[in-house]
This record gives sequence, C-alpha cells and structure tokens, in this order.
Amino acid sequence: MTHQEPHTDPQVEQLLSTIETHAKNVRRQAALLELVDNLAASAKHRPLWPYWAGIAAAACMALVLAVRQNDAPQMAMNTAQPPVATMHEDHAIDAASGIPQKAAQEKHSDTDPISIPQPVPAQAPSSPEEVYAFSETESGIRVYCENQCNADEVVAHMEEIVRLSIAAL
Amino acid sequence: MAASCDYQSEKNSATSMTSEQFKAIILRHQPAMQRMAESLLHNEADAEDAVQEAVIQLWQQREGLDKVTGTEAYCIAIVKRRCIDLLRKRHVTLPVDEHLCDPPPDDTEESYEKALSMVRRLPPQQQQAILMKYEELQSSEEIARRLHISLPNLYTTLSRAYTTLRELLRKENE
Repeated sequence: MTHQEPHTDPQVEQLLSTIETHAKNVRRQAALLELVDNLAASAKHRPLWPYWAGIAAAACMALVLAVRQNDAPQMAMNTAQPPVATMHEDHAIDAASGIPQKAAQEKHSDTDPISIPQPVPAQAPSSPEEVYAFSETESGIRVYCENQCNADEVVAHMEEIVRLSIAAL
Repeated sequence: MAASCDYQSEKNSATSMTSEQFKAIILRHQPAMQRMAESLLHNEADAEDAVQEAVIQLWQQREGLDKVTGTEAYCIAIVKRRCIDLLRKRHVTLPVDEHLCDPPPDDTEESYEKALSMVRRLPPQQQQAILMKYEELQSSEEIARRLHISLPNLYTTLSRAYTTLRELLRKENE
C-alpha cells in the first residue's frame, strides 16, 4: 500500500468527528428503535394459551384431589395398621404410675380393649367386575400416590389389591 | 372470550402508548448513554451492546419510568451498571470515576449542523467524498467506486478537502 490516507489538523478532525459521531448515533438510534419495536411486538403477541393451560391444570388437580378425598375412607380401611412403638417409647416412664409407658399401656389395654387400634378388614369385592373396577380405581390413585406418598404406602396399596383379587377369585 | 379480547386490546393500546413515550426517552438520552458506555468500555461495539442491554432493562422497568425525575441520570446509571457487569465478567478493574476525566465530546445537534454547513462549502467532489466517508460511513474502496475514481485519486481529493476545511475554519476563527 503506497498510498496512505492524509492526516488532518485537530480542528478539522474535531469537525469531521462531529459528523461521524452524529451519523453513528443516527444508526444506533434506528437500531434501538427497532429493538423497542420488537420488545413491544413480543409483549403484544404474547400467547394466552399458557394462562388457559394453567387454569386447566389447576382444575385437573382439584378434580384428582376431590376423587382422592372421596376414596380416602376406603383407602384408610385398606391400609390401617397398628402403630409401631419405638425403642424410646418402650422405655419411657409414665409420670403417674412410675412404670414404663409400654407396660402401662398393656396394663390399661386389659381393661379397655378399644384403646388399641385394630386393623379393619377391607371390604372384598364379590365379583370379578368389582375386582376390576377396584383395581382400576387403585391404579388411578397409584399414579398420584407415587408422587405424593412414600414407596411403602404404594407397595401396601398394591399388596392389598393382589390380596383382594385372590380372595374374590 | 369477549372478555379476553377486551383485555388483549386494552393491553395492546396501553403497550403502544408506552412504547412511543419510551422511544422518545431513549432517543433523547441515547447520545449520553453511548458516551458513558464508550468512556467505560473504550470500545464502540461493546458500548453499543451495553446500551442495548440497558434499553432492554429500561423497557422491563418502563411502568415506573415516567415517575422517575431526571430520566437521563437514571438511564446513564443503568448503562453504567451494565458496563460494570461487563467489565466484571472480563475481570477488568477501572479507577473510580475514570470517565469524569474524559472531556465531554462535542456531539450536540448545533455543532453537527455547524460542521455540516462547513462541509457544504467544499467543491462538489470533495464534499461528496467527505460526506460518504463521515456521514454515510462508507469504506474508501466503496467511495472510490461510487465516485468513479481510483483510490490514490480519492486520497488526493480527501487531502484537498481537509486543506480547504482548515482554511475555512481559520477564516471562521478570525
């Protein structure tokens, strides 16, 4: 490159720099206006379907909870288990009698058998159709239980279904 | 459904009105925002990015922007924050208030008009070459092609234009 752009004095540079800066600012402003237009357009055309999907999901969840609440007594009957005492409870001292609480409970249970919760037998379906319907209800709830309950509860539900199915057949 | 349409149209009208007001604010303060970003980042492209990010942030906060007294200071503060974030990402540290040492550039509309009137007093080819270079931001090759002259001839033309401008400025100052 034998030819170089000529240099100018500071005053001329300042003058030309003013024109150049103005031209650049005009371009930048155009870009910013386009950006604002895009932002405004995206705000305008924001789809409404997420709102409706949210409402539908909430309605479905309410329905599932309502169904589960209706089935809850039956599930409670199927899964009722006597409470398991811990080691700590076994050795705790009853303040009134001065004897271990477990012994006091056993003593009390001799006179009042109602105080010990007994497992309530589930009502077995009488026909294969009822077994099928019952299993279907339980499978529907199972999906919910897998998310909401612990694994032991799910296994207990499934064992109960198998037991009732064998009993009905 | 009618309710949702009403809601949508109401939202649209509110958004368009706000966007016009917002555009006016941005156009008014863009030169100062760009200046602040360039003084901190020392790079035009990075400064433009920082200003764009600041504009996006301002857009998100536009509901309260009309209540802000001194919108220019607010816009500049947002730009400054974006620049500092950018510098932090690059692990660059700057002396405190370095930008205050920079002289304010002469980029007002009045000085632009004055400079332009000076250029318009040049001979036609020199005037065209200067405007293509500094107003249209064309490359030397493109200017030479458009003026149907060689590159050395363009440099000669520009050199003469600079000399003429120097003379005009000297006469102006006298």
